[in-house]
Amino acid sequence: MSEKQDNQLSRREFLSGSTVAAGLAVAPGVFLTLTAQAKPADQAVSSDNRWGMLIDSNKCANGCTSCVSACEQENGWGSANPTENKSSPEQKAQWIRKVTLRDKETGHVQSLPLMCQHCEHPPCVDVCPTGASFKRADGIVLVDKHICIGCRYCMMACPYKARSFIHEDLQDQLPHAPRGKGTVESCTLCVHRVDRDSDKAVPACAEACNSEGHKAMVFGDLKDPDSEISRELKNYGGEQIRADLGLNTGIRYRGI
Amino acid sequence: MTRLYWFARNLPAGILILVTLALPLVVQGGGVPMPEVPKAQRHYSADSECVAPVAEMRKNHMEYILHQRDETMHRGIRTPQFALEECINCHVPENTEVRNQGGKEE
Repeated sequence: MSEKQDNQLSRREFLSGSTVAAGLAVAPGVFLTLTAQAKPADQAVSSDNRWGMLIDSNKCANGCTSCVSACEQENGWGSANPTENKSSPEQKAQWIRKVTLRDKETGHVQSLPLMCQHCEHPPCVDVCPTGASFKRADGIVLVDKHICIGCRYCMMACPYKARSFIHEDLQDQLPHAPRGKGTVESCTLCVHRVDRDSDKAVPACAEACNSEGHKAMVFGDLKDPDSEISRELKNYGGEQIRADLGLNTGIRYRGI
Repeated sequence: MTRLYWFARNLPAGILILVTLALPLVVQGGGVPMPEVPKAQRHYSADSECVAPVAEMRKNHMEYILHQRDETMHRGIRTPQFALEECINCHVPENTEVRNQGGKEE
């Protein structure tokens, strides 16, 4: 069994590796001009981009939850939607959460925001029986609530506990973030902002972190070598949480 | 074979039950009250109520709903004309705000 899985993974890696090689060999210059332009509203997203985020946990302040509250306000969940009032705290929506880590030996405490990691090989997509959990061409992992049947397999499959289920009837949802009882939801990387203005768009969490002055979250295109996130990753590196799973997450961390 | 016989024997009783159930409908004369269509919050533009001419919407409404949601959700095409926001402006009743602010169910 394990041998079979190994074979599959290596084939996948081989295929993705060969496409990257072909892309580079054909025209590296074309890539640059494509990613430098904002996507017109009537054009589909493409795999020329891959959206990601770099989170520096050394810059992330203990006790600061401005990214979480910004996400709540932007997408209408948690404190921003008081109609979700019957669920227990464990059941309630949590698109992004602050996690505090404490090193037992040194006592060093650090905190970081944790949300959907927008994997290249998302386990939530693998297990979804209806195709509701999917990855867009530009790497953003989403739930299509029209197709979701609320089975919650994806919640069990996700190693990051990034998804939540809506247990009750809601009101006052926002037009760009429709939420409904019986479906699973998670961080969308503020896809409505990204689609509106792919050039300068920043998710609400990163925007809030910047305006707080922490500047712990850098959002950008991982496939554009000139983007801030690519340069930061190239120069100083970044880690994936549970890199051993081989999911190639779009959210990278530093200082963990 | 015995099952077929059983069905045939019970057929008159079945018809009788169906007629009894349908009797109220006949007596009422199918008088279902007209639905009260709520007023729109805001129209798409001053000269057009909906995002497309009425005739076109009547014919292609379901088509638009089905395809636009996939276009937006999966392919990231967000044109303002067929955005969900425009659907909501027109199709969500005027008094929704009042109900939510007051916290009372109507």
